[in-house]
Amino acid sequence: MNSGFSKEVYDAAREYVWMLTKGYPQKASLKMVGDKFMLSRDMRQVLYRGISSEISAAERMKKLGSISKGDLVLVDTYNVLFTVNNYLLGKHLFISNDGMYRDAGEMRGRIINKPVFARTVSLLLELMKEYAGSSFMLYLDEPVSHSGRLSKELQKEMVQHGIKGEALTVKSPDYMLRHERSDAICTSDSAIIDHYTGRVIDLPREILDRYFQPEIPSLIM
Amino acid sequence: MSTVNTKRTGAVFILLISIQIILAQDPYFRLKDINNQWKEYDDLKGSSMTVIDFWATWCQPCVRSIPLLNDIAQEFADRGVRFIGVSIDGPRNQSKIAPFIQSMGVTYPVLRDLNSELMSDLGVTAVPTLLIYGADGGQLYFHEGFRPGDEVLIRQHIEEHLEQ
Repeated sequence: MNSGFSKEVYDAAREYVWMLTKGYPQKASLKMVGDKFMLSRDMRQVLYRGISSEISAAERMKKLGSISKGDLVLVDTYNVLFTVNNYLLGKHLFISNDGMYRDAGEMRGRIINKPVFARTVSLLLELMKEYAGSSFMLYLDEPVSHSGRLSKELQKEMVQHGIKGEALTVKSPDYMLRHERSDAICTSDSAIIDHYTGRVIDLPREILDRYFQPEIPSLIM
Repeated sequence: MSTVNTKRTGAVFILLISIQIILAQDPYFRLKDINNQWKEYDDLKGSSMTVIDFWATWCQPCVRSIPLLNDIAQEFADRGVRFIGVSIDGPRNQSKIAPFIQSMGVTYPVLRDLNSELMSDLGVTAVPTLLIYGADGGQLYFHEGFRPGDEVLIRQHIEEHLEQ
């Protein structure tokens, strides 16, 4: 749904990548390029979430893969849901320079529109149904409101649809993704991806490409 | 066996009639506008067609679609086509709606679906979503998202249904 970014954003992104690759501090670099190219708050956020140093981006990109039959997949559920949800709400979505679909991070942790969120959840279930041979562990952050109820609903739906796995409310999905046994993980959290040695699945990308064929602007240059 | 079939055929027929009645019903609703005045669908609907556009102030595709819809609204105004904008902005964003409308130059009425009730009633689960209703209240068109060129499609649909 989103068109590409302006020339200023791409010029800023190029300088920002260069600075990160040379080891300049992230915050100071972002402020410098943001001020130089007079970027809006939103666009600074896009760079902050979408640009990594060349080395980090390449390392993460190598880990991107797809779900295979029999996989045990651990899902950072809100991380996936909020990205898809933000797309349906018409918010900025982009392909980061590490190849993952990300949003500008607005409204994360808050369900601002129930009908849209309900559809987001049903899209996730729909996709998991497609991978009948795999198991999914859906982890939901305990601090997010209504997580307990949502995990119960997800669990019920998973059983009804014959999706193998569980939906659990946990204190820290990050911890689970880092420490539980798995064949693949679904998150766009850079810190988790950097720590993980196995396959990383871009589930929002799978959902959006399959059901919407969106035109997502890319920061891969 | 034949009694069972007859009963089944009868049930299917009743179901189809019910669906037709539901589809032919006006999307009746009552919402407040940006001046906090209650507005009813019946007061705003067009004599030949009504276009309802769901949007939000934060929605990037909406920002691109609204000026084009504004043009289409003006183009078809004298042919009984009326546009209604519905903002789905929540309580935190209410103050942004009026300046947004002004900056977009919206000429048609805009209502506020503060609790997403109308969205739920009409089966809207993304923004922007555009729905077209005929004079009899039947839904003629349902369009999600907005890409360049969609305005041509929307215009075509309106034209086609006006000619019918």
